[in-house]
Order: sequence, then C-alpha cells, then structure tokens
Amino acid sequence: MCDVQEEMIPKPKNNRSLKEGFCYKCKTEKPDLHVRNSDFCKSCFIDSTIHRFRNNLMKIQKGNVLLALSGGPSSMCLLDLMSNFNSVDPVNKRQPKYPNVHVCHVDVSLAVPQIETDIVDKLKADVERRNFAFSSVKVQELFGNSTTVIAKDDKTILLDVSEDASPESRLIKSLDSVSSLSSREDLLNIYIKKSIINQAIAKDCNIILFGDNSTLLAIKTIALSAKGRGVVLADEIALEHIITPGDKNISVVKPLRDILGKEVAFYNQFKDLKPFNNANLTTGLKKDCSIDRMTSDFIIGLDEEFPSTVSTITRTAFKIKAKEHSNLACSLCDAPLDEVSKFAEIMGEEVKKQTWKDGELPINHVLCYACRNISRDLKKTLEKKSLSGSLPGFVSRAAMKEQIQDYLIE
Amino acid sequence: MKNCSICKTARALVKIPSTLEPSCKECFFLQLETKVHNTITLNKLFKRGDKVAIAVSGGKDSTVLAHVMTTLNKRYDYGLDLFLLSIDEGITGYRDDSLLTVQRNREEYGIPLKILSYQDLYGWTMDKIVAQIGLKNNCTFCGVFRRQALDRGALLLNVNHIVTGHNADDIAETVLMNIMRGDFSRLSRCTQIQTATDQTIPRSKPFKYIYEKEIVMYAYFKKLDYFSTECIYSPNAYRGYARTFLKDLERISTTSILDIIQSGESYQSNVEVKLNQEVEGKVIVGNCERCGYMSSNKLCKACVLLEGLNRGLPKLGIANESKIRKQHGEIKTPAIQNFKQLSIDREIKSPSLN
Repeated sequence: MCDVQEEMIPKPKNNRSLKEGFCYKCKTEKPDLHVRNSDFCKSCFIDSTIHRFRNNLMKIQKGNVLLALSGGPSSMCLLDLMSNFNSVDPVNKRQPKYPNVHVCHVDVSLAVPQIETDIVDKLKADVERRNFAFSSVKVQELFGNSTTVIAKDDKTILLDVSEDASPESRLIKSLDSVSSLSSREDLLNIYIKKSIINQAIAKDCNIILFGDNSTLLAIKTIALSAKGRGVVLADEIALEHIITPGDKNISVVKPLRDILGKEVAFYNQFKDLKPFNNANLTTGLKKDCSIDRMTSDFIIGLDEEFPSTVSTITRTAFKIKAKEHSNLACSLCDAPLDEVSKFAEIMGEEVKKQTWKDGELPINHVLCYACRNISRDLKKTLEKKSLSGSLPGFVSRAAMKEQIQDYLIE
Repeated sequence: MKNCSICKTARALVKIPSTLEPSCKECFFLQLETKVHNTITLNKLFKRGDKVAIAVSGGKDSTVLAHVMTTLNKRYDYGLDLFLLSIDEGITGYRDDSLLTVQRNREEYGIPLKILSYQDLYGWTMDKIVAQIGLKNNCTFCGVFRRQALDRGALLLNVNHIVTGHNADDIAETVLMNIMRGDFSRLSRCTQIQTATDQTIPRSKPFKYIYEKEIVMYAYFKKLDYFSTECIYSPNAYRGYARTFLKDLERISTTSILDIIQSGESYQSNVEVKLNQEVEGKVIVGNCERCGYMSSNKLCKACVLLEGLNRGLPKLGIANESKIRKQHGEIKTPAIQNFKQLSIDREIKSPSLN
C-alpha cells in the first residue's frame, strides 16, 4: 500500500478503439471527442448519452415530475434530455411516460449577488419553448411562509424566528450568522433543497429530478464525508431515494449519475445548449475558501491526472449502505439523527449539551452531527491557521514546538 | 492573558486542536487522557485482568500511547497487565535507532518488553530483502510480515489484546484513500475501533479520536522523547494525495478529521466474514496449511512470500499468485514455526519475564 512505485489509483486500461482513427462505436465516422479512454463521433456520443439517461429513467415509476433547474451545465443538459425523452417515438405516438413535467428554478440571487439578473426570464422562455410548465421561487420565501417550516422546533438556535423581520433579512441573517463559508454553503444548499421539495408538494409531484452528474457525485462523496454527513451519503448519491416530507412519498432521482461532467459539457456543446452563469457563494474566491470548493478542485485536478478517479470514487460510493439509524430527523437538514452517540460522549459533548443554553432543547436531540458542527460555528471566532512541517531524526523540542506553534498561547 | 476554558483559573497555554478552545497544560493532559479513557470504557475494550500488549515502535504515537496507557491503568485501576511489544524489521539506521527509545520506555514504566525480529521469525531482515528485490514491492513484504509478527509476539507474551497507536489523522486518511482507490471492503473496516477474528488476538486503537497534533503536544509538554523519521525504504510517496488533501481540509475546518471518521463509521458493509465456514462451497477464511496462521488460501501470504524469497524468486509472491500457490501448496516442510505451537514456546529475552 505504501510502495514507492505503487499507483494509488489504477492506471487506465488501453484505449478501447478497435479501428484506429475511427469512432469506437460505429467504426465508420471520424471521432469528434475522447472520453472514457475511447474516441466517439458526435452522433454516437449523443446516442449513448441519451441511452444512459433513458435507461436510468425507465427504472423509475410513473408520476408527476418536478425538474430542478439551476441553469448550470448539468441541469440544462437534464432539461434537454428530458424533452428529448418525452418527444421520442413519433411513429407510434404513444403517450410519453411522464406527460406532466414541471420545471422549477430556485432563485438564490439574494444570497449570491453575482448571478445574472435576467436568468429567470431566460430560463422561463427556454422551458416554455419545450412545452413544460415553469415556476420560480425565491429561496427566502422559505422563511416567509408560515406553512413552510424549516425548524420543526422553534427552540433551535439556528434560525431567527422573529415575526416582524422580512424573509429577505432573515435569510441574510441566517447565512451571516455562521463564520465559515463551508457552513454558509451547507445552509444555502439545505435551503435550496427544501425549497424544491416544497415546490414538489405544492405542484403535487411525486418525482424530483436533479441534474447531479457523475463528477459532481464524486465530489459530493468526498465533501459529504469531510463534513461528517456520511450517514446521508448513500441516499444523496443513489439513483433513486424516497423522502417522506409530511405524509407524501417523493422519489428523488438523479438520472445523470452515469454521465461525466466532461460528457455533459460535450453534450451541451453539440446540442448548442447555453448554460447560464451558475455562480455560487465561492465564485471568485480562492480555492481553499470552503470544503465544497476545495474538494471540487481536488477531484477535478486528480481526474485530469488519473482519468478514472471519478468513476472509481462513484463506483465505491454506490456500494455504501448507511448503517441503521433512528427515525428521528435533523431539524435542519432532515438527515437521520444519530442517537447521541458514543462518539459525542467520547468527545465530552454530553456535558455541553446540558449547558448549551437555558430553556432550550438540547442541541443533540434536534440536530444531526454535521449540523451540530454548523451550530458550533455560530460562535466560533477564533482565528484558524494552517499547520504543516515534518520532523527530523530525534525530534528536538524546538522542532516539536514549531509544529504545534499555532496552538500555543504565549 | 487568556485563561483556560476548562478550569477557568490557570493561564491558557495551548489551543485544543479539535475545538480551538484555550486550555492550560494540566487541563490539556486531562482532556486527552479522558478522551482515551472514554474511548476505552465506552467501547468496552478491556476487562479486568486482561494482558495487553502495546505495540511500540519508538515513534510519537506509540511512545505517547505507552505513557497514556500506564497512566490510565493506574488512575482508573483497569487492572491490566501491560507489555511492550516491538517488531524489529532489521532496517539499519531506522529501526535500530528507534528501538533505543523503546528500551528507555521499558525502564521508565517498568513494563516488560519483547522485541521480535524478522530475522528470528523469518530468517530475513528488511535490509536483506531489499538487497534482493530492490525498492519495488518491498513494503508488501514488510506489511505482511509485520501483521503476523505482531500476532506471533502477542502469543509469545501470552497476551489477549494488542493496542496500536493509530491516531485520528491516520484513520481519516485511510478512509479518504480507500474511497479514492475504490477499496470498499477496507473502507467499511478501517474505522472499526477493534479488529478481531476468532483466530487472531483482538487489536484496538485507543487513539482513534486523538489528533496527531494533540499527540505531539502531549509529548512536548510531558517531555517525552521519541524517534521520528520516515522509513528509509518508503519515502514520501506514501498516501501522498489523501494526506495533502486532509491537511488542506484541516486548514479549512478543524473538525474535518473527526467528521471524516464519523462519516466513515456510517459506511457499513453488509458482507460478513465467516471463519472456517463454507459460503457457496468455499471456505472464506481458514488456516494456512504450513504455519497455521489465519489465511483465506491454502498457504498464507507470508508463507508464499517467504517461499519466493527462499527460492530466490521473490517476484513470484507478488504477481500471478494462484499459480505459485498451486506450485507450492504440496510442500510439507514448515518454513515458519507453527503458529499454534508458538504459544507454548517461550524464548522471551526480557529480564522481567520468567
């Protein structure tokens, strides 16, 4: 495992091309692109992408579909594939499998000012051209509507529940209350997901399609692990998983999970789809500004060097089964609550739970492990510094001191 | 001047790496020891009267582990019989120096020490192995041999538990690496606090939740000396990507090491390993025909590797394994001392043991 010359990641197999200089599939056309160690021509590539998408969708039951559309490359690709899926079979004129497709966009421009202002109108025009229904919700609406509850319990400290504040100011306040950008990203993602689920309930949809592609899922695998959200990983990257908000059963489906980010980009280029500027909280910042951003850079960088990284990670992650957990859900992110675990006890959290704040529910009974980290972030203002350094020979005390320097208070 | 966030009276000297809370020296020691104590008691790692071998290399983790284990054993009266167990791989300029630290530990804590060498067990030192096979795949030999050597040493000492100094950073790194390499079976196993099968002595990691930084700090303030160099045969290539990434993560969020362990713990495999039982007509884990050590094949990996070395064909043990197993499966002469007989055989050099 630690050999000098051993590769951590297996080397890609030999090029599969059977006929030199031609498309791997049809063997008659000149290749237009190179993915998955093979050359493809444009039409074979588009066919294979459509095929993989159809294949995944055929495993899902019928119902009303809500398609989550951010305007980024993956969701634009999803939108095009979905309209393609519904338009097939002009000969038999059969009713498409999903006649009712509702496209929903969550407007996060209040939280992310870099987003283009006219994105909603452009998306609306695009969607209606494809004869799908379109709606757009603002993420802050989550805070305004009294039936839209984020915290099931008003004693959680994370949300400002004062009646008089406007939804806008409550969103901003909620995001500003955490000190790290990673926590802020987490919160915003949770809010976006909640908004989409609420829309699905409102539009009576029992299937939600997300545009997460294979590369995004590999990034998600590592990022969720790094944030202590491992317990939801299996669900988050599954092709289909069932959520039960209220009394409804909703399938969350990721039909692009077998399509690489690179393939999405090629598909969009060949089909002349123009994704919008999908800015997020970390746009324009350094790569080590948040866990999501750094993981994304790390995986994409590694994948350039070792082209099978993404598929290795996703193949491994697809095998993961979450351990049995309680039926109680985290008030913030709906992940299953860990019964205040050995882990928390070992770290001495049990004591803190009691003294968190008088008159409030113990945080351990309301929030899951990862969200407790966010809640801790609310008050943490200590400066974080990096540590590195290697130790030579018999470690001199000076060298040891240097290694732990940042944690010493002189 | 900041005061300690735990006792509120003494002057704070350090920030606890996982929470960044200011702490005085004494409270820092206490919180680390308490975390280890909690890990031991909540997981019910030991019972009274257990004989426990501490696997020590002379490095920081095991040096601090030996210190903490003796302290806790006294403070909470675990009633454990502690032993130090070292493996001498026979690497000049690396292991011989670090074993001096181990010798000092023995004198300091008054715990019996057993040093087992590859030379005695297998007739080969790592220096000789590297001389024969070069720097490729040498770690395969060392890793396979060490795993068995620890079990053999434990049998010689007649202990029923081994503790190792793996810390939280090591485990988090392994979780990440196993995801990136696609090693699912190891991924679901690597966060377990204790690994044991019927055939081997249970092994535990009491430092599972302790940061590497905390261990260095503990050694620094307790004035414990340890030996630290990279193994001369395994320079930095080791776990490079996962390690760099983990260090970067730690810079963003101090809890990320614990977060990864927490995540890793929830990654369960639904495959159960069955010993000496037929599953679909195959015995998954049995015993090596030659030395009796736990093995999923007729011959265990160590015997195969050794056979290759002794025949001057070291590559055989690494590539095309099934072929070699077939070739050598019939040979009856035992190459290594029988594993089960070892428990009777005592050649303990340590003066404090009879």
